[in-house]
Amino acid sequence: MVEIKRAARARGRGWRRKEDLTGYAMLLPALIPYLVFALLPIAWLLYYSFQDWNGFTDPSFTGLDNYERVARDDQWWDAVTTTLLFTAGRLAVEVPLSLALAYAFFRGVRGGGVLRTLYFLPHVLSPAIVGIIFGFFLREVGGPANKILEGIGIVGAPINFLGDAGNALLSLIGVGIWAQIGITTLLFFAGMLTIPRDLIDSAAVEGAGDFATFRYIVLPLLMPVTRIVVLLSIIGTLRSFDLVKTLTDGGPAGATEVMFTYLYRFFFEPSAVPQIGYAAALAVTASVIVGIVSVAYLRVLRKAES
Amino acid sequence: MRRYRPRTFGLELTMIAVSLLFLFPVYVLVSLSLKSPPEINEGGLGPPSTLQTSNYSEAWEGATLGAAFFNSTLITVASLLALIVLGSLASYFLARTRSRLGYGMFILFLLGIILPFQLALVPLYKLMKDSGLLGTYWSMILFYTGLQLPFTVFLYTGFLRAMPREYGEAALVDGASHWQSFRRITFPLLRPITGTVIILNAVFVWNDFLTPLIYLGGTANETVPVVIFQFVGQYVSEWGLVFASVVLAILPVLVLFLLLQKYVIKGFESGLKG
Repeated sequence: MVEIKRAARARGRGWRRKEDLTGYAMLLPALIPYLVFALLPIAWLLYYSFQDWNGFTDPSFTGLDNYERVARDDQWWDAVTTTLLFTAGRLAVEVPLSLALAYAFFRGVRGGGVLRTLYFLPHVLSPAIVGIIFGFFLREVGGPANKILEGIGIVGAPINFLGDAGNALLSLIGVGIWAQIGITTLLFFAGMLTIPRDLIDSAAVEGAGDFATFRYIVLPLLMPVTRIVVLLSIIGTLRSFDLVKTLTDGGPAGATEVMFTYLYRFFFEPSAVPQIGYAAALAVTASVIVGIVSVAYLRVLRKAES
Repeated sequence: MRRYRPRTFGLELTMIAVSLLFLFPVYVLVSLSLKSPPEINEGGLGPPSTLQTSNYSEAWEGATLGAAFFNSTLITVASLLALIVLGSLASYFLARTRSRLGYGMFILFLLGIILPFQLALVPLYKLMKDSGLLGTYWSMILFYTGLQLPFTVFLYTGFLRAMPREYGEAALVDGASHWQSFRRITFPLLRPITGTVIILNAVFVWNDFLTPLIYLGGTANETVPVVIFQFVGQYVSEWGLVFASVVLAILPVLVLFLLLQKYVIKGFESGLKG
């Protein structure tokens, strides 16, 4: 019996050099479409960022001109600031709230499965459709949100949710949280399910309350999961496009313009000649900003842990 | 077992109250889709007094939703098939290999989750145009396959790494090739994570708006979100029709989600472990 096992280990362990060929043959069908339809276009983008190109005539090489223009483009840096505010505002609410909800599900509530499905519901809707629905919902005149607030007497006059500069960003943050919190909660919940039940039980035996268990057992053990979930949220929010495009389209007067709605205008604005070279330079800059924020987040986290 | 306390009851009430925040917009959506124009103008939030089901038939015909459903279904199913087959095959190797190159390939795929791929749209537009694929189903299927493979590979590899190696290796010992071991043993074991792959990718592909707008706009191959948006633009003041078309558009994904939802949590659990 032992011998068979040993033989199995000797023969079956992983991939041999000869067998590696089979392995790469299995990898290749996936690698090709990924390279051609995802990575290669990104490489092209980098190339175009050094060109002046309108998409129709031949591109011409202009060196760093596009990037110099990015550095001087105040509207762009306003959009960067708005993106960072939008991301910070969303995460400040989304992360603690979804952790609390996930923990409630983890400790067990009746009908937890049904409730989780309801929370997850917005994720099934296309962000573009969420934009249409809330565009109607938050209307100043006759919008259901204002109707309810007036009906229960919280506000005297209707709130201009989307037309006022300060309100528009807050509305966008609120709708973004509405659409995203279900999946974040679900991810935290799935992470909590991997925590050994014994640890939770022995903490209960020693008299730890719900909060103490959360603070000293669940939160530290969930850290690897939290790190990834928050990172994915940061990246996803910095890259926001669909929701912003359909709910406010960057308005009023650019108050909710984020990086990707701004640079999109140089690619596809129907009324103007596309400036693909400049848009590409903006896109590369945006990617670098996403990268910097991600690395900074991981750095700060590591420092806080040690 | 934990005791049932008043506090637990309070917690349950809070959780239910929170769920109303998610349910209420959906309720308003459905109830408006069944109201007549005068009743919508009155602006009440109650249920419709009479069911205006003609909104649905008008929306279906006015937005030519039949053809759009066919297009969306074809593109979604074909993309899913490609993602499942290619993604699981690649992960079988990536999860088990110990070679440096293999690990490098895995990192290369992970890179695809981080890079902002909306940006690939423009260079790809040129590629599709030059190769004559623009406006065809193929342009969408190839794009989604390339775009969603990193996430699919990430899910499959995580799941396979959490699975004991012995399963597939027993077959290898018995003299099966890697192909046979994959097809007969590993792939059937991947069922739960394949459920996750299906639901998450289906939601993404079905709902995607920007890509089909750019690649398919103006052709007969337009997908549901594109058709809905044009419809919304035309009937902007007739919210009953607009919301009926929106309800019709989200129904297929909703049904798929309810059928496969148990796989979502399972998939995340193993993905996070791996």
